[in-house]
Amino acid sequence: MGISAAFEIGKSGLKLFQVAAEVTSENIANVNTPGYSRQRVLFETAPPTTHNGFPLGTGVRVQVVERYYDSLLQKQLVNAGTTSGYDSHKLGVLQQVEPVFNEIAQDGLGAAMNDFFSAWQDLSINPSGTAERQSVLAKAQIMVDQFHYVSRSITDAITIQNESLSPLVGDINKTLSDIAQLNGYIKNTELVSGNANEMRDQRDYLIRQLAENMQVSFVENDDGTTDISYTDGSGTYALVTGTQAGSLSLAANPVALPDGSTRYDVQLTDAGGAGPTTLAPTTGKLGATVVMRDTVLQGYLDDIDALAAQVATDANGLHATGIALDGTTTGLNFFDPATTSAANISLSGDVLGKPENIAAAQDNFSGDNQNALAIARLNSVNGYSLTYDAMVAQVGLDVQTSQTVVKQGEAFMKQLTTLRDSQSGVSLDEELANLIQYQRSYQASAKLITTATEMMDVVLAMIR
Amino acid sequence: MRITPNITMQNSLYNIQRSRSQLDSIQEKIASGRNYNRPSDDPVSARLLVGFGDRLRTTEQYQSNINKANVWLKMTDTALTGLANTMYEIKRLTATITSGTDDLTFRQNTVTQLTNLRQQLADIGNTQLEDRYIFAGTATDTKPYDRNVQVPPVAATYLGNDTTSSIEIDTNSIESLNIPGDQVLGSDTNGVNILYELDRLIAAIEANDVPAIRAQANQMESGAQQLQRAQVINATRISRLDTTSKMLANTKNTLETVIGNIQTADYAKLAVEMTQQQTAFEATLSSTARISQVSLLDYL
Repeated sequence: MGISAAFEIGKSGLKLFQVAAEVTSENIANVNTPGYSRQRVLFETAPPTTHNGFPLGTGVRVQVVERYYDSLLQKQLVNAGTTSGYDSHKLGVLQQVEPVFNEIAQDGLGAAMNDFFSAWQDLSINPSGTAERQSVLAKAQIMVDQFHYVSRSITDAITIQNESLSPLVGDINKTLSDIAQLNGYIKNTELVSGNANEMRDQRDYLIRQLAENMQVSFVENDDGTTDISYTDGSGTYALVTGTQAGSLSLAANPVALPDGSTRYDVQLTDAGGAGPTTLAPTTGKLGATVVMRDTVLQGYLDDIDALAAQVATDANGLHATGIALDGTTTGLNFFDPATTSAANISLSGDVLGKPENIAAAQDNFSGDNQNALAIARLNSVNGYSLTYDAMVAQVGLDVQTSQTVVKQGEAFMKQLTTLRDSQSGVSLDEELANLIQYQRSYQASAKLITTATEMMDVVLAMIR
Repeated sequence: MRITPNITMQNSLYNIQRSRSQLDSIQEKIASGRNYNRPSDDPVSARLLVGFGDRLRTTEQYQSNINKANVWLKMTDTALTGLANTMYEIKRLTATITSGTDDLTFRQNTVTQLTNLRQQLADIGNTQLEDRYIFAGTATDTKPYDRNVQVPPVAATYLGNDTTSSIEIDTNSIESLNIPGDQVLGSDTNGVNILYELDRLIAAIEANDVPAIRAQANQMESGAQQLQRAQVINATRISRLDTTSKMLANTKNTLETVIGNIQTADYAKLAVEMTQQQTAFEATLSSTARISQVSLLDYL
């Protein structure tokens, strides 16, 4: 052991602080990269040797470059992402539908129904009046139009949900194959050397993105790869196994959508190539899309259809027993008897454009108003307005509940993100401080080499 | 806890967003003048508002029903008063001749006057409102009475029917509108058949048949009572509509007040909230701006 040892130690310092500065610069460069975890160099003393009977170190070396990472936090972020993906999508769709039912800001179907039955009240006072008869037809047409509008709005929303499945599935498939690819890179890199920190960050980030679309569980293998699986009511499937990725696809369901277009089922070919199997998603954005399409929006549509069918059937039931203005014609329908839904409710050909065919009477006298009065009272007897008002409140409640859940989810997500940032996020101030520290250390190591050189000069001078 | 600039920025953004959305919601209330602009603002209040709105519409419709019915009832009242006055004239004339007279001119005179009054009764009985005969039952397009004296008297004087039509004046509250002619001037099957009895009176006077004249004079008395009953029935209806109309006005007033209480924005309160929120918002912005400018870089 001689002066050359000091050179070696100085050299190891120079090398190491250069690595440290590189890691710091990587941290600074990625300060805004989503999913990036800050890294640090762990130092350790180089193995000592014995000189002159004393054990002495041989400098410093890199133990590992590691990332600040909390796997529990990652699990929580993944789960919270699934919940928030579901809720925020649901809220978005509900908020699109809410204006249709916004009876407190403007007159809609509720007002139209009231006006329709009011027109019958007017007719009951002057059962032979042409103006009153025209008015009944006009108000009926407005109500029918409102039914169509509500029905079409909901039907459109359902179709949009159905169509949005296609890009969503494409997005999920891309994420799955990216994860599988990263699995391969990470495995290969780590076989050769160290930790593939950046790629692991990317994979974690992709898993979080995937989880927003559907609930997944993941497990890390010894070789550095991560397997991802998905579970719903139809079973458990492997989405990613090592470097193999499964894929989702859409298949036509025999039951068409309300507007007649094809209803898609989501199918999965798993990582092993088995399938495709039809899924029953209820989680994440994918689940929200399917649930909104098949349950929530469909529920609203069913309610409004039932209301339209009931109004048409009840009014026809009375109207057909009444007698038209000519005092003889009876058995006429007011609404098209084929009416089954809000989409196809319409005035029957018997009365359309023929106000004299409105059956206001129950006997053959033009002044008889019993039938008009009976129809006018249908609303207060059967409570159509109450049914509709309850729907308005229900939609409002659904939106409000969803808003509350989303708000809570956002707060929770923010809390988790803050925790993750606190652990893994890059702090520029900290990196700068580190940089100065490494710079000083680098200068000191250089000084060490200069000093050793001078010492060497002294020794050489002695020889001369 | 370790705080990074990203955490600070995310917190700031989150808080700015929250502050902004609260400001926005206050602003919307002020701009629209309404506390609730969509059902989800408060589903319970929304349920009340649409419910009250429905009741308000229905109430207004009932008021409109009553107003229209009033025209009919007032018309009926006028007609009935005219009938009663005419009947009074007939009774007065009849009283002058109950003992009969041999004075042919006087008898003819009386007959002429009675004939005129008979026509007047039929004319009033044929009163129309917008092409509808008000005393024809529901056969409103049938002229119920023939104005000419029937010789010999014919019992079938009334051509309308005996059906009453009803309208709704309040929830589950039905009121009859018309008084069928058989309850006014009578018919061959119902009540005192006034026109027929009058025709017989005229025939009796022409024949100077004293017992018949007396009998018919009694019939005229009964007829007058029948008209009075009709008048009372009609007056009762008018008074009921009047009472109901007042109740409806009261209901409407209450509903409008309740809707106003729930829905009308309280500007003073909102203005204060707005100011508070604005202060908070400005503070958030200001502190965000300051903290995000500080960096170790400035001191190196």
